[in-house]
Amino acid sequence: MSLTSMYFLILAVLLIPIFYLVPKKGQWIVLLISSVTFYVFSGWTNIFYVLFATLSSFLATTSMQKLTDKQKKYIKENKATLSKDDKKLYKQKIKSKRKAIMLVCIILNVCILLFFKLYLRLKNSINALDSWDIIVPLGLSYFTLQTIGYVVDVYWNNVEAEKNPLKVLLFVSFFPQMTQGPISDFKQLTGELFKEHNLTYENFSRGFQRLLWGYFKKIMVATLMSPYVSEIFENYRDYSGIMLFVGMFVVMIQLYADFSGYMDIVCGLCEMLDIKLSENFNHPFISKSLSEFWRRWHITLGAWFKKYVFFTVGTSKFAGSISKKIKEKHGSDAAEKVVSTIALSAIWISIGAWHSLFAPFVLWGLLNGIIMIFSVWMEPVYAKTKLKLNIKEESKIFNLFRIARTFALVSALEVFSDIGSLKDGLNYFVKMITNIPMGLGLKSSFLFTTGGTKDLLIMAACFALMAFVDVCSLKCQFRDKFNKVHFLIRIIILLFIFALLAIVGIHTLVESDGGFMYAQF
Amino acid sequence: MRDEIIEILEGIKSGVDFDSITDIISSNVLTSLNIFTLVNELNDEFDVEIGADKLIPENFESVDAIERLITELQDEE
Repeated sequence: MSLTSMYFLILAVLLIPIFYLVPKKGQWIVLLISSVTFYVFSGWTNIFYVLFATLSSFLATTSMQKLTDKQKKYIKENKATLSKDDKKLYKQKIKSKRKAIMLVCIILNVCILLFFKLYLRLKNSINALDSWDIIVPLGLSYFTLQTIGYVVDVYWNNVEAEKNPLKVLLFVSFFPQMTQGPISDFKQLTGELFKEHNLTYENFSRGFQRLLWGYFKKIMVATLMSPYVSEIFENYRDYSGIMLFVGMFVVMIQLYADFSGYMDIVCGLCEMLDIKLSENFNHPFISKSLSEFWRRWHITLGAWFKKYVFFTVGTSKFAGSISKKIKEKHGSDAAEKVVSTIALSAIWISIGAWHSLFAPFVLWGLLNGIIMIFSVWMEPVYAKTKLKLNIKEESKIFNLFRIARTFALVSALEVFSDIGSLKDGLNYFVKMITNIPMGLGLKSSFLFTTGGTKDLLIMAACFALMAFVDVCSLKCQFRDKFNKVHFLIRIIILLFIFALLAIVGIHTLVESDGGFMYAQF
Repeated sequence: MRDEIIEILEGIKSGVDFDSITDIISSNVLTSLNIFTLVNELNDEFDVEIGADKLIPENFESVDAIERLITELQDEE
């Protein structure tokens, strides 16, 4: 069930009044029923994978919690008789049991995720698998990470295990965020899901505005851009270098409109329900470096891998012993760079594989990692060059250059994951660089007939509006400003967007599949 | 313990008044890459094991916070 489908809208329209009419203590049960309904309507087999993730994490976390409680009780009862060594030995014994439980749970869930990633990878290259038609569970990549995060947090004693399995089921399956995230932290999300929710005009109106804006970005920008992007990427050999150069940025903007549009729909709906979700975007296109970009784009994915992979690898005994050896021979600066290289390699191989096991995605992950590792090692050279050229860190021109460079870099990397094959990705760039004087290219007229000149103009106007709102919200919350406008004018603007979506948007959604780009992962 | 922690921090980043600063992480005085060096050095110096679970900003914002973390880990041992 896509967020742009009629079923989703019906579910949302039914959910909101029921959610506020039931006694406050039962509100989370309404969310649970909605989530299960969403899953069943998206393909009834989906629910088995959600139940497996729920059950495995419930059993693992409650078992770990029991061991922690047992340890506390034992130490308290035997405080007088236990020596320091006995206490240490007992704690180690409990810790290794808890670790084993955590690892079994993680391995089981990762195996299911890997199985489907491998299945998708091999299906294209092994004919025998064609008859083996398995439906990949909706949102598997997202709820697997969220579940693993919860299990590790209980192991780390950051949170207590939830004793009610139905509450764990809601945490794993909360339907608005299930298809594309955000990947939520247990403490943050359950704090929101299980509190008592009050219907307020502010939450409802602001949530509705954000939801409508999300649909605007998805339908009026991303979906309208889609035929143009497909045309350029599928027939890139027929276009000039300049068109391919423009296409590289357009695909990035399309992905942003699609993904951030989805986030606005999800966060908007949740705000209407008085539920605050983690944000996934924070003006990514003003990033001055690739690492800053990943702190602003798909924030919860980056944060998850940083917390559970990057830090775990960087502080592991293996990294520690390597750091020690290198420090003795080459100093602490070299040791820091080597440990950073190990941790950055681990995080980017994992992020690439999480997206897909297809070569372009793996390469996309590796390239991100290589660029970041390269900048770690080249840091002294950058510093010297800046000093030599008298470039000031706070200079506006220098920062604009850094922003443009980062935007070009992330757009170029996106080409690899979007074009479908490694060979085509490389050919795209060769053509882009070597075919500059060709004008717009052999097939440029197709661009104006693909969706029609009218669609092209509407799309350009909607993109300009999206960019305007994004630029304005750099300095202040755009919705705060919007809500200060006279009530009647606000209603007219919202009705206009609504009408635009209904008239122009519906046929484009019907023609496209209506799905979101990131849902494929 | 405090002096040793300051010495380690100054070895990683010189020219910062670590004795009084209370926003080491939030003001980007140390990056997440510097944290790896800091963790390795603290582990060696105080014979503790700082795992990934302890890598939250609050544990590294000031010398006091780092001192609290080390003490807590030593007590757990």
